[in-house]
Amino acid sequence: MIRLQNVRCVVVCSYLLLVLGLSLPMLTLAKEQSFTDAMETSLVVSSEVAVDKDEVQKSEILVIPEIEIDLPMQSKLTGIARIRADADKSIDPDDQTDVELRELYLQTDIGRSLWTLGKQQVVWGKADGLKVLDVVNPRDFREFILDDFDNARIPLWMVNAEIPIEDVTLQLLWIPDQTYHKFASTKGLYAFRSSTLVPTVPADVVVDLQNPTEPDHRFGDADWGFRLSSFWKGWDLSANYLYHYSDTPVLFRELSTTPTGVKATMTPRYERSHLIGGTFSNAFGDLTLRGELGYSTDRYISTNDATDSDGIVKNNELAYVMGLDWYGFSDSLVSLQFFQTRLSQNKKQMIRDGLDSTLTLLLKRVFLNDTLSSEILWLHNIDMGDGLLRPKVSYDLNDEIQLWLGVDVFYGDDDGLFGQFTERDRFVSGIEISL
Amino acid sequence: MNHSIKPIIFQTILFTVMSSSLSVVMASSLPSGDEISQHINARNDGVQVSRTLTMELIDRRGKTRVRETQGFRKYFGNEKRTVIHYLKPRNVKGTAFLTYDYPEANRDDDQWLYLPALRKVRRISASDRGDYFLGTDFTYEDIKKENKVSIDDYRRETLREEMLDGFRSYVVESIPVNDKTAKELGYSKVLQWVDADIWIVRKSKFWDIQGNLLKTTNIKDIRQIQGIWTVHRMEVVNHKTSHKTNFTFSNVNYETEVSDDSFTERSLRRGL
Repeated sequence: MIRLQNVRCVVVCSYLLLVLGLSLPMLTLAKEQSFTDAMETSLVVSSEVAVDKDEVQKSEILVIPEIEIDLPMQSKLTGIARIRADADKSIDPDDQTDVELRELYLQTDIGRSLWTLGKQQVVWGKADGLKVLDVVNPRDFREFILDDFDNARIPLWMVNAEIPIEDVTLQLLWIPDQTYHKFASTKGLYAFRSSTLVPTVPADVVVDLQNPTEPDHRFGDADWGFRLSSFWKGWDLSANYLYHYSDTPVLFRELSTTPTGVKATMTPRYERSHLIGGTFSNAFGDLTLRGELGYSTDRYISTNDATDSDGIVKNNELAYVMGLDWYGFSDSLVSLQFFQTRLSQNKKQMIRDGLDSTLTLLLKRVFLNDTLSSEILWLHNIDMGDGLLRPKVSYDLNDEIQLWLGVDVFYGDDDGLFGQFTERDRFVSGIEISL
Repeated sequence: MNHSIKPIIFQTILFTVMSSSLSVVMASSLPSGDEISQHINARNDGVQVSRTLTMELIDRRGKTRVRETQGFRKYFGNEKRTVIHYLKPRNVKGTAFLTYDYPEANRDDDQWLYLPALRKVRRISASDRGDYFLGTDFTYEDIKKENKVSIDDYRRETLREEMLDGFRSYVVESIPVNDKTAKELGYSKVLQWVDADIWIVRKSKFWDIQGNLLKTTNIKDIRQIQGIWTVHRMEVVNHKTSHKTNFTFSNVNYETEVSDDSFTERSLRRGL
């Protein structure tokens, strides 16, 4: 583990030096523009307080400084850091503060192609909040899915090239960064407890949870992929491929008999997967139709079957989202999405069903020249009958200050993705100051 | 008594008939509404343009929000493509709007909006052209048309010729061709003062669907840039909300090449 961290540190530092190394000669070339003219800085300070019926869930402050430096040859260097401090221990007592270099990338045009080198976020797909193809970057589940996407997505070091070829744009990704989803610790409020997510063992079985086995070949284990996108007869189309390590570890189980009883040794291991898919979108009058589809190989689902040799069932998974956005009323959006996943095998005692369907509905309206915004987001799992309701109102006091109030209400069975958090309903208020 | 009234009535009728005839003669000497529209749309606005647009959004209490944007427009044959990138302030920086405006009347435009918070380009419906553009008092249609007019959406009539701020102008009344179009545009009537020499709309008044005066637009600071008459200032007042929007154009350049790649989804995400 220590060796792995050292390797990671060396590689990240090398990459950092590479990005800065590429940037510095450009900086020296910027003779016609003073450094201060070429540099733009900003600072966002936000604070959010969440309270449930028993306690304060979080009292968090985020400080996000950002710097952008224009460089010659149509290049730009961007750096974004984030300091997070939560005065409350409830969300995750082991993760109350962090200081992080969120993004650092050099963006440069080479001919007609655009190269982005460094730590960055790449968003694929057309769905809002539902992950089919938007899996290039892992996600921080510290606060389940309640944190905003930009904050929750974990940026990765990568090479990202977008190359136009006639009417098609080819995007190539090479990601030598083995960072995966981050889950709330078992002491955290939003630790996954649902039996559809975490395998269960009989009470008399001793569980020995090993440290995750992570890929350790920086280059050999790099993720890579491509996207071909085009605009054709009114349709936005893309074809996507990603060869990657799935960001959720597979819990391999080994049962053994010890003098004190049966022991289950659980070894989390990251596994490779091929993801192939595509997206589309088009507008028809007041309606916008959008969708995405992805087929993933080598998806491993845990099973509670004690006779299974390793406690997992190898699967392939088809996932798709169909979305309709309706703009029929002024300054309003009604957005409906249907999301479904299908596993190739549906063996008994697999912890999740072979078919899983979710509906989402977003109602949004802006008032007062876009300074006041109200929305209700509803996510409902059709199979489990559980869901999440998120009404929110936000107001721009001016260009620098935004205020918001919201409620997060979970409902449904404890075994559901959302239902497991029915005791976590909360009231949220926040303020963001942009400078 | 009767004797004295009769000549007055006769004179009044004669005056009315003569006035009406004179009006008919004058009106018939004016260019028709459609001819004026064609002149407006035929006005040279360059094959391409790049410019800085500063938006001032002022609410009824005088609280002002300022946005700085960089815009590009280019004709691809008769198809017009426009992109606007938001540069300041921080809370809207990176937002970008792209539109493909097709010449065919029966073909909807294509529009995309990039929202940096989502890091995603979103396809948006072009039929909500009467919606207000990102908090301003201009509609998406106003933004797209850039002081030109939609020939097919309105029936037009030239009402009169009059001087406006010292400029000879034709006053043209435009009524949407049907209720559906009126609802899409958000207007039941538009009155425009069109400069008779350079064919630029100098002032517009808009009535909402219920027939109430909705907003007034004043176009100011019209100057030639590289030989092309160019609007540098647009002021609009929404009479219902008392909200105002001022657009100021600067760094207008028709000669610097604007790359075709500026009008792609990729360029929206890349920003400036």
